[in-house]
Amino acid sequence: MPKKQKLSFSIFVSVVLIVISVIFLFPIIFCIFTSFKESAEIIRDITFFPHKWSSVNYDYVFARGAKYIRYYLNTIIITFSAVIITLGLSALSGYAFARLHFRGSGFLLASILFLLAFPLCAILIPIYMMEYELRLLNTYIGIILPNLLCILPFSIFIMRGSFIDMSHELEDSAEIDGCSVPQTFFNIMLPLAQNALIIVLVSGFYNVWGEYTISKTLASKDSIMPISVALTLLKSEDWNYGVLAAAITMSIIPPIVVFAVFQDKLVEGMSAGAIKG
Amino acid sequence: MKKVLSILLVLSLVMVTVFASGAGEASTGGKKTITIGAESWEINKIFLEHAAKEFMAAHPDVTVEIVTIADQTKLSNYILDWAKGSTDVDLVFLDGGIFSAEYAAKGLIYDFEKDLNFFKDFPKSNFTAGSLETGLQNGAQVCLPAIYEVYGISINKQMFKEAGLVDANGEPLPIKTWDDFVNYAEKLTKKDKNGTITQVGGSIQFGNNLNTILGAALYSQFGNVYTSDGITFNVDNDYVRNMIAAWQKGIQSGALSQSTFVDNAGGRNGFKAGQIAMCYEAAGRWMEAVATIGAENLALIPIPGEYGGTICFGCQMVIPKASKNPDLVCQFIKEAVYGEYCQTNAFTTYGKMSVIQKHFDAALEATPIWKGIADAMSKAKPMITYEESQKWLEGLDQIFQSGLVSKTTTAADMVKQILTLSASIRK
Amino acid sequence: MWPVRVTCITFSRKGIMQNTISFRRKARARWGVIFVIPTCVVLFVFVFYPICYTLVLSLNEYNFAYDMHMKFVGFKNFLDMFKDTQFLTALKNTMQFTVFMFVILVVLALSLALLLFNKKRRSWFYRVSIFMPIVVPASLICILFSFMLADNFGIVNKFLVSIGLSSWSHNWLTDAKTARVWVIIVSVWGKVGFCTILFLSGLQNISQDMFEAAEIDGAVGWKKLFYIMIPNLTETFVVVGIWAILQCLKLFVTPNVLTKGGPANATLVLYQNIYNTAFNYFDMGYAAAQAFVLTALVMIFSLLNMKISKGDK
Repeated sequence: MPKKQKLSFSIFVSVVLIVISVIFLFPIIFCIFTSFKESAEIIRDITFFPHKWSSVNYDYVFARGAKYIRYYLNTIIITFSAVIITLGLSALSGYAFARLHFRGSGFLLASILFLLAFPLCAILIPIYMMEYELRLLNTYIGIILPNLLCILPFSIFIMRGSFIDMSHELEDSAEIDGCSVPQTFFNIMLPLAQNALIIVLVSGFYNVWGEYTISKTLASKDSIMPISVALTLLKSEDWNYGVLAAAITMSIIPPIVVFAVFQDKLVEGMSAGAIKG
Repeated sequence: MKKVLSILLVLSLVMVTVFASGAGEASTGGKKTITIGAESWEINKIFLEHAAKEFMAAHPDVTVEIVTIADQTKLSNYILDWAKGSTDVDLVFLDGGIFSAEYAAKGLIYDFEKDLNFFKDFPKSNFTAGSLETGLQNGAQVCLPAIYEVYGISINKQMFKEAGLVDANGEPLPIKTWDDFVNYAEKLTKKDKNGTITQVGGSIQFGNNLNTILGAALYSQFGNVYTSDGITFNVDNDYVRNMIAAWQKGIQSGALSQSTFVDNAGGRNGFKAGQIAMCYEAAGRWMEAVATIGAENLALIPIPGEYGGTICFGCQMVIPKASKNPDLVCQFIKEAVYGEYCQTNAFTTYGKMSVIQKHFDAALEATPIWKGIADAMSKAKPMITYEESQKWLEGLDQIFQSGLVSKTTTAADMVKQILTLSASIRK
Repeated sequence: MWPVRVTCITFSRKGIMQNTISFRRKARARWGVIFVIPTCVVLFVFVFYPICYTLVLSLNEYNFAYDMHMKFVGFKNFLDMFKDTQFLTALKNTMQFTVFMFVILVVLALSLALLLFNKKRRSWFYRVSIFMPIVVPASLICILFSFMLADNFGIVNKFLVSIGLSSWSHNWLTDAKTARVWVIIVSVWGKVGFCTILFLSGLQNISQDMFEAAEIDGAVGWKKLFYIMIPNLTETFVVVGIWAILQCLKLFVTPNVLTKGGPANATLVLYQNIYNTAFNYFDMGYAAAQAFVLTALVMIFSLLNMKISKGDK
């Protein structure tokens, strides 16, 4: 009897998941199909499947050709730098806030929460003015720093949360064994926090990859502009929906590939954590 | 894990320091460079890249670079740059007069007439009627129009024929008043058996162009947008109240589309899709529909009103005082932007009308549909841009978008709201 | 083995241990400061000037496009805010969106995480499809959504007509009520994937031992849910809660691009109002004041969220 119940429950779960997946994927699939349709079909005939597969939208997008390589490269450099710096800094700070209590750590945490809460658009103009004085406009550092501002606070919270949940035993034993704090951190605590690190990596990656407002204001030259801004340049007076769809399709391919790759690591890391206990 | 992390950290520091300078473009030694900043649609529709190539071919010692502006916020950043005396662009294309008012107020841009003597070898008579005026700010010619557009009503002749709204020759009946407009819209609206609307009679741009829509309607009736003080919209009269009441009737009966309340492109896209019969927006909209509806089904008619004029606006060019090569830029404008290729093709391909009279006439011959509003175009005038124009526009949007659908607000109420708004903003 | 060792040391070297504890605490505190310094440098040095400047701005009236001179007005900006109908509408809309979105996000994400947790095989496909919306650039996909939901040429309405439900087709985005609903739907669509991943990770952190012990005790199905899973997800709730609050209160892209603030400000949110005030009206002082109000709101809600989650534990 229990086996039958388990089977029907399992089928129920599958059906629900399939329905949900279809709903979630529908706009994206529509987008991909639309990118292969011609303008008249998109707006006049309104179809789902393209009746006539045409590459006219991609031709328009690629008319700017080689520049895209530069834009993608910019985005990669900015994203990787920001994420790596965030991984390092948030792990250190997260551990400090969780375990290494020092005077004023509460106040510091509250100010980081303040930063998290603050709407970036209000300080965008002062940041622009500041970068202008420091001659940081249209440089990689000039864009990485504000992006760090966006992702670092939340990453600190994630790492702190993860470290708080860990049991004190391992730490205490390590200390008694004579490990200094940094040794404990690097050799024991950090490997245990792999899950949280992966989440920081994933969330940071997607936030910086898609960051638009900051890049729009602080990066106006082609040599620095990331792909998120560059794709909006394809807009003529108003978006041609076919070109828009092609632009969206182009911009989701790299992140999805990254996610698909990290998917495995995610599963591995997580199940390993579960078994270890 | 630790090793991997430390390697990555070192790598990132290396990358950051190596690329920190951003690999700036090497300056071409010896050559003079002029940089042009424009939005991507301006680059496309005014054929700026072709203009740049032509100019560079004619003047081998000059490099022309084109920089794409992502959107309007970049233009406000220019205020900060230019106030400090530095600029990375020599010529900027502006979409409308809002920013030019600010640049001029701070003395950041050249006056083409007084500072640069532009008209010495390029007389004002070269320009079409009203186009130069679009670049005036407080009487000073601080901007030059690159192209100009007027407002008109694009219609789908096929739908008119189906609704029987044609005369003996099969031409659409003229629309003389706003009541006519709404009546025709109701006749052109089709509903299916469930009452769902399948074809909308008309669309008016109640979104980001509402102040010009209102101004053009006033101008077309009175020959003047403003009251005797020259700056307040002339809305406190029965004509306007009847017009707004008619629009209200149209919106509430479904004959006029509400899509422009949330989507600036709602009207033009619906028209292109063959779903809307009449479209009161910038007159160039019919050209976008040629691919989907066919040129033989399209026509342009003037805005209802006794005077029969229309409002024109232009895509403006400004040169910042911080620029180092203003004379070279003027030359570029005269030869390339005002040259035959740009001016004619912008008109015939995209409906962005030429500001140079002789190119305008030539292009008009090639696209006769424009003759539908030729009379109105000869009486075209630009509108004044308020200092707080953005607040004015958004206030108008609010008033119309909530008033037109409301069953309790009357047209008289809405007029009062407009007057209150008008008194509260800086002009 | 470890506990034995500790006990030995405790009994034989009591005096020295006390010194050791406080020495250790001080050493840890010192290391704490060292660990935190790089972060502080990066975050606060870069932000110090802009935020101080914004604070000063909020007490001034400054329109940099027209005046270029600041005029000190004290708290006038803050007082004006509460008389400004546009600000109040934005505030009301933001609170409404936040309440609905937060509840839907957390409940939906938790349910999805539980479903995915149950389904071990072939869950790769489901995970990617739930996570996909996060990857899509929000500003671009919202334009596509506005196209899909258009009255006349939107695929949603066309589909309804084609299956005979044309009476259901509606001007989704131009009707204030349905426009709000769609803003919430599209925002949730774009954000639930991340919350789901967070919950999933939290679920998989729960040790297998606990599950086995519970099953031996006879707890199955719903009991397992309430007595094992939820209590162990406390810290995840805090993180998800903060993230969700942030996303809801700082919601900007979806209402701005989908409906431009809605028919007659029906979907105007606070972040958009700040953005408009700063970048369209150039009223920097007023924008700064509003920014601080939004920050205060977010902080209040985040702290509330942390208190509630900790309280449950």
